[in-house]
Amino acid sequence: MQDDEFSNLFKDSEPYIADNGFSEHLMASLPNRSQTAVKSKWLALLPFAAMLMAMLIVAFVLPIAQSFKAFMMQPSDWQNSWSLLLMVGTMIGVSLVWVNEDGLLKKL
Amino acid sequence: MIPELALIQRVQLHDDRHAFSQLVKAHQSQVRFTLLQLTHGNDALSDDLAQETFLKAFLAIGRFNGDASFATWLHRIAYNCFISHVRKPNHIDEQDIPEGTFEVDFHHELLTSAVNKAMLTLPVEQRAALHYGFQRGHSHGEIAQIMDMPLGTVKTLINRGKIALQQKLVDWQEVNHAR
Repeated sequence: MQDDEFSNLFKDSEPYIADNGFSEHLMASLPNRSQTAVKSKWLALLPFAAMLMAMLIVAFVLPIAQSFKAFMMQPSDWQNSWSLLLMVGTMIGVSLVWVNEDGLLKKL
Repeated sequence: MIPELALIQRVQLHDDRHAFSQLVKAHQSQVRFTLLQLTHGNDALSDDLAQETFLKAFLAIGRFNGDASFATWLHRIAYNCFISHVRKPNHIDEQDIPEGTFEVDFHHELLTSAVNKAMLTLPVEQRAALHYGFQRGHSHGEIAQIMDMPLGTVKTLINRGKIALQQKLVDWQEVNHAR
């Protein structure tokens, strides 16, 4: 059976469902949209933004700051410089993957 | 008659309930029939889900930006309501309904009614994909949007559903010719 034959078969098979008080019942139960709407979407995003910032600080900023401090104290120690380089590199890598992830820029 | 887009804008900008009731009246039959198909012909449940669908649509209409048609957007909400219902822990799996109940009535119905009944025997995702594709006339891309699935999965569902439905209709025709 071809697609258009299938479509014809289905077109004839759909009954019209009479309203029978469906819309009246619905309209009576509708809430006030202004009461339920969020005043500002930025305000709603604030807790998530705060949590993200805290995670970024704990995961990246503090370790990098520590490595940087150690590097400044003993610049000659190759371990400190490699540690700092590794962390900064990881952060750049993660940021690039995150930004280039499919569709992410559109969502932003 | 006021164009649909103008009605939507009235609801978005002025919270116009009369405009929303016109949108409900225009789409209620299609949404309720879709949900009737998805819920295995359970009209009480399908009406509850349809009420929930329109309620959610009313609350979220501010976010409707016209990327898809209003009908597609509404069907997506309806499908999500249905999926949320199916995922509830106390949901009774519709596959538990004994097959005999379908077979008994099936041979006595006309072809159009037989199509609807045959649809009810298909797995829910195949049924939904066929319904949106052939009954509603949505494109594969729109179905993927409504059902939140990859395009390839939708195509597979439609192909498998067509084969299964065709087989059931052939069986039905053989029985009716034999009479």
